[in-house]
Amino acid sequence: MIAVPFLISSTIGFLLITLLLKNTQSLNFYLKSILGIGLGLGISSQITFYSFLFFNKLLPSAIISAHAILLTALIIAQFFVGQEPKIEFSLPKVTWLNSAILIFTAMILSLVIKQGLFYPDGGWDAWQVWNFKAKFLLLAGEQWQNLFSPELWRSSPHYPLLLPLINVWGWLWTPQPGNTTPLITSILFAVLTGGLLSSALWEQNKNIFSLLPGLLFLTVPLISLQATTQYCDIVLSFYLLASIISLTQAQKQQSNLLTLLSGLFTGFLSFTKPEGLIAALILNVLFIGLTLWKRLRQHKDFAWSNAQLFLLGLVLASLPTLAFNVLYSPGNQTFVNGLTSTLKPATWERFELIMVFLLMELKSGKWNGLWLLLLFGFFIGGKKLWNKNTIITAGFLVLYLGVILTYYHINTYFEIKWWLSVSLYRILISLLPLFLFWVFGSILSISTEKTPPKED
Amino acid sequence: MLKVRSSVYSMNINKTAFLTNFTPKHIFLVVASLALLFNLYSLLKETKRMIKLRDHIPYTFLGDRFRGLDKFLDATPMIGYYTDKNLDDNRSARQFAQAQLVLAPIILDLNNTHHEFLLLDCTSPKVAMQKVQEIGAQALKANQYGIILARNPNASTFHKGSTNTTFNPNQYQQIP
Repeated sequence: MIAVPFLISSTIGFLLITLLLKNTQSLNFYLKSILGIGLGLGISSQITFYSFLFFNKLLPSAIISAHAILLTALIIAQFFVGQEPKIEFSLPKVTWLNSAILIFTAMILSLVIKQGLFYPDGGWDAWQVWNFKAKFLLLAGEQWQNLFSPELWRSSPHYPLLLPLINVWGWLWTPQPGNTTPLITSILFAVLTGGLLSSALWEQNKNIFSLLPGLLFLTVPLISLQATTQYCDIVLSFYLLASIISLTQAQKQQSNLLTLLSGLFTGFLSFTKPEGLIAALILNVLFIGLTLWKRLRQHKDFAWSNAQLFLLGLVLASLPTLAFNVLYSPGNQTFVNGLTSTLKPATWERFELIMVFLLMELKSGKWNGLWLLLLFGFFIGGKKLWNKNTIITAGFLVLYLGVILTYYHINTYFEIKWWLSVSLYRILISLLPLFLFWVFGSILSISTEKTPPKED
Repeated sequence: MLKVRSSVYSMNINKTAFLTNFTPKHIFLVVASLALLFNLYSLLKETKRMIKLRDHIPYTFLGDRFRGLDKFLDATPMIGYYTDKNLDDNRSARQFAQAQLVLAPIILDLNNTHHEFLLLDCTSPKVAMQKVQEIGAQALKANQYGIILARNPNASTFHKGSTNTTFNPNQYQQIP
């Protein structure tokens, strides 16, 4: 029974993507499936949230009924909307190389799962924040809003609820709120993030080396452990990557419906963590800026309908974020504005320390040289990193890092060395898939074919 | 009817092209492939280390020390949690965080003894009992880990709690 909610969510997501992309150029089966699973889990989380919003408590019957209705409607819609339904998937040719790659990948995945099993109850934030919130929401009945009590400041009551609500949905199918459901969610998102990275690069380049970044990401011990210990950073990472990949594919395929999908993923992103909300806002600003620029230059009609669908998806999937922040969130209780505070001012030394810490972190051995590899890729990629296809990714990373570093500087509530030591590496982990997508995507797109000499 | 179509594609590398057109792109991909092998080696090493560690030190969840206590606190939304341990210490802070997870949705109000029910997690049972007497509370249950559940009749906040639930005598002992 424990797998049932995940299967229902995945099927809903997959069918919805199949329906959305029915009349457009399709994505490869793996990319579509991975996006579908993420979409389905996001939808399940939101349906569960609406139970609290509309009935002021967890109402399992309403949640399960909503899933059943949605699933049935999507199955029926496959037959009545557009063309005849079809699922296409490609299997690798049976060769020694492909078999070796398959075995190699399976071995890596089993090692990743093993990391999660070493800590079945997860890491620190799993107990204190995410699984605690999930268990609270599951068992508190009509007292669920006690979750936002000031006594629970250690559990960050202002953090959004996407991950806890996925686990609540999972626990509806188990007799006890045990640790297996959060563990499955965590491992699933880790594997999905690696898979999304590789399958999106495969979609772009059809190059066997597309597999590399996904596997590189999952095999750094620090990352595989962090990603499988039931924190929300990997969930944020997945939705951020999904949002940008959908947007990149929408641009490439001139597909409006992929833009809608990107809007939905951006909405889910805003419900993961406060950083996710910032990321979603930056993406929104970038997208609107890009649309206006395109509208001024070219693709006028496409750009406008594109923007409308992106915003539609964003609004639909951001409603829980909005409701949460307006109605329930007690606000950030761990914030001191260092720009105005005389007791805890944001000093120049603090800024220097942040920058030095960041540099030390990036060259730390715990990353197995992954950031150095990316730096090398920067030199190789050159102009390919800064073209119209990568502008959103590049722009996002620059802006987001800027905002995060500024926040570290301005919020002087925490002692900066401690704060950086417990959080910066997690922010970097959540951004790493996007960095890998950017750098590998640019490098793999470099043509290596020699131009034939011109004949007179 | 739903059609499922499968196709087969090749993932072969054009070896000749790879060797003759050796560009910076290829150098990067070779370095990245070597990095993957290094990562895999370090992940295997870490996994072996963890397996060995688990053989010597089994996995423990400190929150298990609080399991079953919720049975005595049925409808209580918030209780006090008193500890004389230093919560800057990783283990003590972990125990508190895990206790909060295990007892959810009961909220543990750290070091506030003005609640009707109190959990005492002290450095020794003697210290805990001294605290119980100091606040004029009555110890109700204790377990083998030294966790004591007490009721404070002088509390400023009362909740509809239950202390009559039958409890597992193997896990919890009545205070003599």
